[in-house]
Amino acid sequence: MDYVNAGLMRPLVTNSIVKNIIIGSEPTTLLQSKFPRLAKRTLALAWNVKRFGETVATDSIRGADGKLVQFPKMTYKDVVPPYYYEKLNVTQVDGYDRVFSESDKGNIEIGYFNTFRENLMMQIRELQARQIRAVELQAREVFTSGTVTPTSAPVIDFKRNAASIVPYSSAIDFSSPTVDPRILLEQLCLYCRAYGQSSDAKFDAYVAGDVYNAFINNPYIVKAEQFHVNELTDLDVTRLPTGAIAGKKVNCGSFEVTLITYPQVYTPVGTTDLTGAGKVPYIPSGAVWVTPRNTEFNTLCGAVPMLPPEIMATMPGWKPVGSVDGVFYIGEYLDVPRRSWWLTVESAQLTVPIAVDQMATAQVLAP
Amino acid sequence: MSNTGLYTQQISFEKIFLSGIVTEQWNYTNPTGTAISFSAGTVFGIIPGTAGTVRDTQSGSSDGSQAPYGMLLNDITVAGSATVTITLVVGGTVNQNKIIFSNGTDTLNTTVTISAVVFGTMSSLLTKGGIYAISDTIGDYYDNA
Repeated sequence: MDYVNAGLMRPLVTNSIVKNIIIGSEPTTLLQSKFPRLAKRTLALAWNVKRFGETVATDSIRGADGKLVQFPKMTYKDVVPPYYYEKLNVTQVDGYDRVFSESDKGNIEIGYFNTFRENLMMQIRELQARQIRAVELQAREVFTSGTVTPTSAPVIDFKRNAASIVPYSSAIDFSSPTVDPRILLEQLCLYCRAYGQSSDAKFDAYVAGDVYNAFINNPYIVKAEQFHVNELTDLDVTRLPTGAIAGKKVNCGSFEVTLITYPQVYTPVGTTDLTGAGKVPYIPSGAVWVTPRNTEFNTLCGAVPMLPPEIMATMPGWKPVGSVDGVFYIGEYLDVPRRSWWLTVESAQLTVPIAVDQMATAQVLAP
Repeated sequence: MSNTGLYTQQISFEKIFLSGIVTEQWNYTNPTGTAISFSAGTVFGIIPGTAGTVRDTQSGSSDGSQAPYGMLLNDITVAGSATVTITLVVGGTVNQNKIIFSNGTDTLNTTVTISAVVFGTMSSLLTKGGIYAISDTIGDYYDNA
């Protein structure tokens, strides 16, 4: 039987956790996949936006002076991202007492150790997953309203143009037999082109499941299907790694739009229904979110509160474990009087639509 | 540092004074008891009979300063009744779209009258003084804010 020396237990646990966190830290959800991470080591995160106007030159008289054109305008934006800081008590993890019992002082059976380690890894990965879900909800909110609402800081309003958020009306109801859904989708693409200055020809339309059903049953789409080999009801890909289901492409005017559903849900903060009935889809019922295939969005990752390592080294029980790409910071410390062994996960992340007009939202089914 | 949400600042680097700039130093006395501010590009005129003194050009004035002479180089704030030395641009090529008249109503086409005699327009008098105003085109715009 294999044994692990009890004196090596803590560092072994620690090292294993870091390794597994790194393996599991890639973004795995659809909405934030539009916002690639950009890690910075500062509290506040800033960016500049300069928008050219697509203006046109006029001809000059030969011999005359050139015409003066200036590009002087710049918008500076600065924000402190929401800070996520969660911890778990290792002494409460299943198997802890068996592994660290007094009677086993010395050598510990590796089977017990592996079971305990897996329990611990799953729990700390869930802490990280909670923060990933929080970022996914940020993206949901940005797509919905252009804001992010932290619980411990003021609302962050990215000032989406009102024209980019189309409220429900019967004129755009995909379930209406007199409405061609392609017209609205083209308008949303045109918004991203004209106002958002996207040069893409390919767009992604994130749609709620009920919207997809209404779309494929819409008489205009059914009629158009008769002239196409590929059927809209035949999904291309069962499931993407991001959790999305890719549907067929459809031509909307000059644009190619890929319909993507996202049947993933989360448990809202403050609710306790974990059975599924109370869970909420990331894309709300009746919603359509259109973005160019290539966008200028980022998840900006700022610094978490750091303490000087030479001072922390003098603190009994403290041991910084490491960070994952400068995004998730893992810490560990012992609270001896309270007999607690804490593992922490910290991050400061914010989904930022830097090119804020490269997204358009519509409510196409009655709310 | 307090968290104030998203901070947004719109900044313009549009140039007012473009080339061949000539500057002079003049005195300005705030005629009011409260502080007054002028932005760069504000037009000033000479008050004859008060050596080295100018004030902001307004077509309704009758002290001679209604004839434009130069444009303020930098933003300034002058305390009530205070006298300060200011720098005027009195020659060169300037951005027509950034010329400011302090009363908010005068324009480059406003007629300038001195002792009931029409001397020209703001534009013609500035040109005669060596300030050439040309128009620019702005090729960009701000982000949503």
